[in-house]
Amino acid sequence: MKVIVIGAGKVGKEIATRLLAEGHDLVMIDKDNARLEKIEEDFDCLCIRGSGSAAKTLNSSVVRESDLLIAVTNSDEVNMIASMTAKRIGIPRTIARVRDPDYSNNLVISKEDLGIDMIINPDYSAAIEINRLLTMALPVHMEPFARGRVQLADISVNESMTLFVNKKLMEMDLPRSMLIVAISRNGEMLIPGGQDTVITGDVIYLLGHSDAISKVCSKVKKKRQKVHSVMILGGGRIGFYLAEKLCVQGMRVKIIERNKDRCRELAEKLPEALVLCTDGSDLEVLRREGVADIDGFVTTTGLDEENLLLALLAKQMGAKRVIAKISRPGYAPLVEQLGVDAAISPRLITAGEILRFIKGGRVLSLFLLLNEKAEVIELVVQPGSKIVGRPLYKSGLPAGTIIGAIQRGNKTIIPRGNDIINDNDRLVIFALGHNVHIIETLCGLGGLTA
Amino acid sequence: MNKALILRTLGLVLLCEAVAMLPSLGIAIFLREDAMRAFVISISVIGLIGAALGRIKVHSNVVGYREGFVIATASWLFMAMFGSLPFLLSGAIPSFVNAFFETMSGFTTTGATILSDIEKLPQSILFWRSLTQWLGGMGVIVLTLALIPSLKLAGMKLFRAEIPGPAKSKVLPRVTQTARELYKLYIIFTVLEIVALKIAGLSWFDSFIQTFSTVATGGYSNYNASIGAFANPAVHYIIIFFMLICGMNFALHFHALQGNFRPMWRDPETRLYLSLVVLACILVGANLIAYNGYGLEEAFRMSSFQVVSIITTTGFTTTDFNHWPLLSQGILFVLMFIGGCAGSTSGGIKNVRYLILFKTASRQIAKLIHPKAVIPVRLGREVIPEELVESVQSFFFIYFALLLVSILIIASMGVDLFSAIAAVVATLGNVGPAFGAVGPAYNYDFIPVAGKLLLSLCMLVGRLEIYTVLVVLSVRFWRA
Repeated sequence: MKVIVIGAGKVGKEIATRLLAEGHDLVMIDKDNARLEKIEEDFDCLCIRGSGSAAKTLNSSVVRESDLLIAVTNSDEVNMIASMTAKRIGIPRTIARVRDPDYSNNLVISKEDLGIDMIINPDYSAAIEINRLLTMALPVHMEPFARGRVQLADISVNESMTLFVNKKLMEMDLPRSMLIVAISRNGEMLIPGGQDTVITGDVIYLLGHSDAISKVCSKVKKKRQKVHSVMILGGGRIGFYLAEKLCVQGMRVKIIERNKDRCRELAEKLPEALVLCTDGSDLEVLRREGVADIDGFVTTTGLDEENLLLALLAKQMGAKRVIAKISRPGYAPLVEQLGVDAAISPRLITAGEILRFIKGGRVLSLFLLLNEKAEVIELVVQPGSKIVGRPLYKSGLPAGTIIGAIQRGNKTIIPRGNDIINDNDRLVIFALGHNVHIIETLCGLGGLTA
Repeated sequence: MNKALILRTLGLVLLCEAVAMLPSLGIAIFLREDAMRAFVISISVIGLIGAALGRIKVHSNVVGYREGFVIATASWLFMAMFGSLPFLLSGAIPSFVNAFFETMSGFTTTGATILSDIEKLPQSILFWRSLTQWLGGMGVIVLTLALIPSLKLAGMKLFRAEIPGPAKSKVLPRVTQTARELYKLYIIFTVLEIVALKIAGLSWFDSFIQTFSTVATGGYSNYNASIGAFANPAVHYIIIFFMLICGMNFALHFHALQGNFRPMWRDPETRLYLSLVVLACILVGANLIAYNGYGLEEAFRMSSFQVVSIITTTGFTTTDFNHWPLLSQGILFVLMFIGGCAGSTSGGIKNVRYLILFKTASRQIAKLIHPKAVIPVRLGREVIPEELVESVQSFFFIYFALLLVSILIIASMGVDLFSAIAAVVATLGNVGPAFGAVGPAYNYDFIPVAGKLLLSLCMLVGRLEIYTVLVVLSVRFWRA
């Protein structure tokens, strides 16, 4: 598939990396020459200099023949105009980043009027994700698949979890309808076998039947109390969206932001939240505002280092659940070791959303684990594909791939090596990132790169 | 300062006043009253002066803030000065100071009078007396703007100087359009009340007189017993209703008349205003039943009439509340400080200012707990700009400072302290009748000349919401 990406910023680059890895052809458009030169050095793609909203740039044969346009410049207006223009000149599908809620929630002009098939808003998606993490009933990250029948959960293992700690996988007393698909240890992803041992500090990934997952999770930790109060450090877009969501749910929200004008704006837009205009890295401020009794502490400033360190600090001061926003996925391995409950990367979430959109109806859901080395994908086996009719151990799946669940009609099967896959089975697969397209080919979805 | 423009505008204001005297002249001719002569002379004098000033050549039409303040203050002074001519010339009120006081009280919709026997005045003079209230209710400058759109004065500066309250009152893009829409509403209310009162059994003349004073929330009646002269409960209820709605923001009425009731229903000021009225009515009513032995209907009618009359700063009475129990008197006294809503024809400090002050005070307390918190002052969902918060705080201070100084001066003239307090509160708040020696059964005649002039100034300062007049009186204004 040929894809145009307008805007060679951080998000544009992230998308480019993923698309190239998936085997798509790429054209990058940007106004800035220096940025394009860098792109040309790093990526195997065509670069065009020019304004993404100008018909002059878009109306060339290379652009017109493409299948998808992704507009992610830092201007909403340019992105919208680019999408409209793209639709006019015949590009079938468009994705635009629109960050201003005044535009994306516009009831007078729908996104169809603007010729946009999908609106992405990384900050909003990140806020939704943080909100989900904060409000989950259990202290684990859970992701639903197969319409909620299958779940992926990650659990940070500590000494008290006698169910797992210092036990070999084969010795563990776990329900049959679930699997430990991966272990993350010191930032490395392990695909465990029956002889492997789980130790303190690991993060284990469980894939299986929702009931079984819930049962294990509730055994591991007591049900967490509901979140009543949340402190948000940094009143940027993510902080604002998050506060808005939390306030609607009736939580007490405190936002700490340094910029006076931004504070005023926030206070105007969020009547229920308490906006504090001060330096959030000042420990005295955090203590006085009661960080010790807070249920949730979220850092969303522009600096990854500050976010991680302050989240850590808050955790030590007694905040029950801390979440940090990070932009550079390179820091991700640190997060688990440090004791920050979760880290959110808007860019990663956005990339995931776009990939999900591109794969369309064939890959049903896709979830990128934070350190990107592994993905959980959900897909429907196409009739007559290679994987059908053979026992799993002979199916030729790449090493490290685990079929977590087979959804056949209303039945959920946690497969063993001898199970056979049928046509139209819905599979939830745990795979390493670079193997994903091999698996898709096996399942009859090989036409993706066409 | 653009003196030519100021003088020309004043001329046009005077021309409007001359025109406004014509109906009274008509009545005088129709009834063959002696006052006819007074009106002919007044109209000629005012018309000539107005025409002369109106012909002044103006080089620039730019109205700065300074011009705006001068025009507003001077217009009202001129209106009151020249408006007193019919009283003087007809011999109804022989002293100039008394006539000036009476006219100023009329134009500022105060309703304080120096007349002990109103009923002996000629009908045409009574008509003019009540008409001054009607003209002053919506503002003489707004009237001029509505009548003479060619004035093209840089709009809001003048408009804001006159429309009561700190809220925005513009409902249409152009000031002249807004002025006309507001007057249209004003006239609709006027016509409705006249018809209602006529149907209830009043004569046309009485209907006009009571209506002029009601919709302007003024309080001049043509009877010594005020509305108490009518034994008809329907009349009382009609007047209560129209006082109540004229004490509400006309911009909200504008939306309501277009079928959009949401702004009015949602408006926090309207809610406070109506809640206060209901609460005060219940308290006073219960108090009257318990101590004065009123029946239920009478207690409700008496309490709601007096409560609404005082909170809207009308000053009509159906009874002498000086003989009411102390709790009821206390409630009425407090209501004098509150007044109606911003953008209405009423006077007083206005409900919205109390709301803003209350929110500011609670923010102060929140700030003690969270020193770094940024908390905007809100009315409903709307955020009040900090400048407006400060302006309201200063307004409150100045209001009470003026109040205290004026009370001291009036008391030093030999008026007993309680009456002095009541007189100043009632004139600064544009209420009219008050308590003690200036209660409903008495009048302001006994106050010395200097006191009357001071109270006239209080009325003007209160009507123009303090700042407009004070700015003109400040040293900095004339030095800059």
